[in-house]
Amino acid sequence: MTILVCDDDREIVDAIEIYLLQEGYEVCKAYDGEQAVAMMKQKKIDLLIIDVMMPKLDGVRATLQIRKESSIPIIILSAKAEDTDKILGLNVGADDYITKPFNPLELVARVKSQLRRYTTFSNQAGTSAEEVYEVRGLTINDSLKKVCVDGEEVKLTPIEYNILLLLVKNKGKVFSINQIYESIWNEEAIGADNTVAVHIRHIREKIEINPKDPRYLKVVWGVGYKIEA
Amino acid sequence: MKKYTLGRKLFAAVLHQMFMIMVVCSLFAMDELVRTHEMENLMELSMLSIIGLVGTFIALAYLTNVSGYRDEDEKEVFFHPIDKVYGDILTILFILVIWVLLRYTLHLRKQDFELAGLLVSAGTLTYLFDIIFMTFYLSIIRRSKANILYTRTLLYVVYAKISERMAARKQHQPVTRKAREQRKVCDAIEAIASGELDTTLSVEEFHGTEKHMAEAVNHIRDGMSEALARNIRNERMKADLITNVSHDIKTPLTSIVNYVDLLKREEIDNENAQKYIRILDDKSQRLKQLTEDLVEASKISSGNVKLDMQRIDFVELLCQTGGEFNERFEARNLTIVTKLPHDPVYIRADGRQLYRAIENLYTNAAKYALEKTRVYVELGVEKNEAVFTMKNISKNVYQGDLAKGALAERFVRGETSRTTEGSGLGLSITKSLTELMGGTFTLTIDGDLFIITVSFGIA
Repeated sequence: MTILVCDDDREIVDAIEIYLLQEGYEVCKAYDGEQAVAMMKQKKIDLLIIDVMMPKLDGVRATLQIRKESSIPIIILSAKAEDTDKILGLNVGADDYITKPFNPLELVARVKSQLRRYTTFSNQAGTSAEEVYEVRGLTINDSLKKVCVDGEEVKLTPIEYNILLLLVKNKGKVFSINQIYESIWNEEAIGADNTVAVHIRHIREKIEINPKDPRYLKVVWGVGYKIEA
Repeated sequence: MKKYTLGRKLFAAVLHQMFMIMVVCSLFAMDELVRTHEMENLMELSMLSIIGLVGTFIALAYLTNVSGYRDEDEKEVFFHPIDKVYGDILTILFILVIWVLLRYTLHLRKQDFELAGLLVSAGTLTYLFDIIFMTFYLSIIRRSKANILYTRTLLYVVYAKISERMAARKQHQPVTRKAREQRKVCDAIEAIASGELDTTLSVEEFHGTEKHMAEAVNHIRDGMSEALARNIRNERMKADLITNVSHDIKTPLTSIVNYVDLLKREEIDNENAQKYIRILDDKSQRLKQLTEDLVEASKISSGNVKLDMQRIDFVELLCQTGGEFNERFEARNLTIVTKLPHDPVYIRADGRQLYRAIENLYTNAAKYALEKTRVYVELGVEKNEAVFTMKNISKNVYQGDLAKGALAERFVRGETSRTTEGSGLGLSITKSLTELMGGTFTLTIDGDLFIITVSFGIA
């Protein structure tokens, strides 16, 4: 598989290349937006990692152009950490947004996750005979009691599984700690307690690449938890 | 305690009337006797009138004493409907009625009555006169007891109204042009002092010294609003500068972090080299944290944060936070003792920002609390305020400025040597965020006891 890495800082590109080569990917390099757009046309690229602030053509414009012709996963890599920057990046068609300075392991994990989703999910799109719940790459097969993130199985304890199932079945809905407690333990909640919150964090650590910046299990502070639809 | 019941008062009043009638009748009788030169009963009659007179005074004295009170200890005077009539009007009415009665009485004397008929008419008239007199007299007594004898008169009320209006007119409409203009200048200064920087005086309306004053006031206003605008601009620029610089720092920092990581993966035998790499790794991670916190702090303190204020449950948020941190506390052998209300405590805040504020406090405790101690977390409700308190024993003993709240200022940490983790921005960020959302933040240090409170109004 070939990954195109585009950043005007050559050392960063080289470092990413080293990590990706270690994982067995082929790497192409570009140093500005125009080069990236041109290279997309010449070669068969499976994934693009692109910086935002670059000369000639910036990452956001390049993403917009590339999205017109290609549906490959795009990961934006930027020093801009504002919410508005992230939203802009995701809105122009990027699949993920990583801020600099990044943790190399996290970058590799996100690349793998995007590639798995792109390849496995485009193939097995309709196996819905069984009780299967799916949210953007997170699947729960309730007849097999199996949870997968981007095609990779995740081991959860029974309580963790039940909490996650409750949230996924009602994706988008916010559950308070008491509501979760009452529906999982089947008894009345007797007030403030950390138990549920601790389980939630364990689930996040298992299903999220970066538990502090969750993609699926979001905390609505002061209200509850939800799986983002 | 003696009760002054209505019965007793009525009894006294009737006694008084009887004595009065006795006096008047005996006087009339004496008069008649003198006219007809029959002297033998004169002594008895005069005795009778004297006894009547004494009785009258005793009854009147009693009534004067008790009127307006229900019992001995009562402080407040209670009023009868007649006491609501203006005093001066009442007096005029009283005099009129008495005058009519007197005229009638004098008229009576000129008539040729039998003695019995004369006495009956005199008694009836006295009875009428006495009722009217007592009503008037006791009303006056009650008024003077309650100190409203003068104030509850038509004259006084009219006088008060007029003087009030005069005073109001004096305040609002100065008589001379000079005073009027001075007043305008004063009003403008007050408005500017209270922050209304769009106040402008139109100079052409003023004359003489006042013209100069108005001009000066306008100058001061211009200066102030310019300074304020410059201040806001500077804060914004500072925040922007820090954000931009931090972007510029982040790019080389990314390379440093990555290549240090790559170095770590190289198999290097040299022990010293491995130690140096470890240090590089630590420091580059800290530098990363520092740049992130710096941007946060500058944005928050310049008010450059968008708040999404919602009605949220403080208890839920603290449970959630507790869940995030319990293993970090366990790792340092800290026991966290949480005391939260069983029912939700709703406040208005931006949940994400409030979590950031509270998260900093937990991080602080996890970093700086003395190992193997307890950290107390409590949420209480006091007078419409939700008060979050965190207490822990610090590793360091604070003295001097640090104990006086300098810790919450930017860049101040417990240790002045700055060798350990943390950017020193945590408490400052918490303080600014709390205040931005309308809450209050306090920090108290007592030796090594660290107490932080964050409170919000109940929503």
